[in-house]
Amino acid sequence: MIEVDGLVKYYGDFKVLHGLTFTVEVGKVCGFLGPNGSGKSTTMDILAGLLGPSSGTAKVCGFDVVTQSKDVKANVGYLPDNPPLHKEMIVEDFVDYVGKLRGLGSSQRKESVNRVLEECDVEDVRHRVIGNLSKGYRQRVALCSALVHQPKVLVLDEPTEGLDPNQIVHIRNLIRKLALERTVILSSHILSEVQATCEQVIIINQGAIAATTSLVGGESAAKPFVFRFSEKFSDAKSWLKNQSFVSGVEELKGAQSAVVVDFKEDFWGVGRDKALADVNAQLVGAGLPVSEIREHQTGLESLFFDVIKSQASSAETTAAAAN
Amino acid sequence: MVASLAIAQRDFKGFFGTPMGWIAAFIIFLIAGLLFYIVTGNLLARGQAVDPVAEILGSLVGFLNYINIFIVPAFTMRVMSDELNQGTYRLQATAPISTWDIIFGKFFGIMFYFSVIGVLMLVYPAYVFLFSEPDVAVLFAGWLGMMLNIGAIVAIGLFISSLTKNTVISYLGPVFFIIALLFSAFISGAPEWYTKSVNLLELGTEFTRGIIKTSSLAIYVAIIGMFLFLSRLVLESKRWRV
Repeated sequence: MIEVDGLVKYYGDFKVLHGLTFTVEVGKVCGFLGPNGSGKSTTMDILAGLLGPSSGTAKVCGFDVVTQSKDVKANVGYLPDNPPLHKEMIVEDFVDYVGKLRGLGSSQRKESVNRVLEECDVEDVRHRVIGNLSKGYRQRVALCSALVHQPKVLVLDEPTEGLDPNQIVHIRNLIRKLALERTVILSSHILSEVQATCEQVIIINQGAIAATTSLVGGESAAKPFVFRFSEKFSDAKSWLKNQSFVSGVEELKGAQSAVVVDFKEDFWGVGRDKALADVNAQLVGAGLPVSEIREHQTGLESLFFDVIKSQASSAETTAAAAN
Repeated sequence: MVASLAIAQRDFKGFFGTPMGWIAAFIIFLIAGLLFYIVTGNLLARGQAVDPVAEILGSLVGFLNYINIFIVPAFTMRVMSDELNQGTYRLQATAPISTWDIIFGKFFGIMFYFSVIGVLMLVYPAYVFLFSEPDVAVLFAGWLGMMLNIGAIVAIGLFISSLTKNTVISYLGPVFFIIALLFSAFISGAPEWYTKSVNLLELGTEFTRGIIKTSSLAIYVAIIGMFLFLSRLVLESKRWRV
């Protein structure tokens, strides 16, 4: 659905993208994760047909973004980081206007406007002026305008930026709902954001892909788990070490009274939930107060922090070189 | 074409959604009203005129052509620089339409606004009908001249606005550019075709005498076409900014 091959972009002498290559398959939600200034927005702009690459190719739905940009634009719904809204307009009129821009006929437009207003939960404000809406509503109205022509691909640039936690949850749910029928690519500099919504993650740093991982398919359950205890931490640690089904116990770095526990393969034989419930019951039975059990997400987190660290150190070296 | 109309319609409504559209209309009507009062007063005091409409229209349009140099760029700034600045230009840029569609939409949006004002302003010359039988052809020519003059300023304004996101520059740019153009007509030694073409005020007043010269018409169309083409070039190049 989205095929990017050797994408390079220069702004003057400054190379923003260093030959990005990735693909996103139909119906997938792909997260584009990277620190600020890593080239996320530039990539999004190129995918939406707004910017031309300096070299390399990008194809959306089989159409080239340079030579067939009209077809690309017809198939892509784009929500830039700064949502494009005419603040003096009424929500309904605005979405209708975008439909008109995109060449929808009047009857089709009416139906489309009603559909997207419902889909994005903004029906209650359809007669209000956009400038008077809260940021969360504005973001959703902008999303409406990106969806009105029923795009096959949705490109979202930092969709939850600047929203309060409630609104973030709302937008996330919305994205998940929209992703059922579409291919979605979204960018973010927040790890948890990507973890919450995406199936595939591309970590980008300084214009190059640092890693590509898949967040699904980790269902094999042979993952380490974090156990946190409210008290008797050392007792709990030694108790866990002595269990036959545990293969390793380590203290969680940067956290207090929490351990990362690796289980042996046969432990999961009874099923993931049952196995965890069993071990929990045993812990409580032994008088050890468990306060939290969660999956230990090593891969993505450590990758992302490595990326951030490497960026910080390279910034230091450039600063040192400049001095 | 549908997209152009959509943009023009939205921009037109947008002018009235902000104080700008109302203030500009207020200024234009205030000035036109005062001028009309003064000119007819003079005319009545003198007691005779060969063609009262041509005289009134000449003064009215002649002066408004000056004023428009300062009013029209506010509109081109709004539809171009302001949209580039606020990011709403992306709505148009991400739609599957051509850059010409966008340019024409913006151009005709502003032209439509000034046409409405121009039509409403016909109330002044129409008033003269109560006293005499003026020449309708002169009226039409004068009106056409004013609209062409506005069109030229819009095209120049759109081009300069497309170059910058800075709204101050995009307002003052066309004002100074046009003033410089007018002054450049007085440079000694400039070829005649040049001095004739760049003096927008001179060109505009010709029409108020009821004369529609093909050459003047062609110059206006050329100026409008050239600057709209340049705007398109600038907007297209934004895709390839390096």
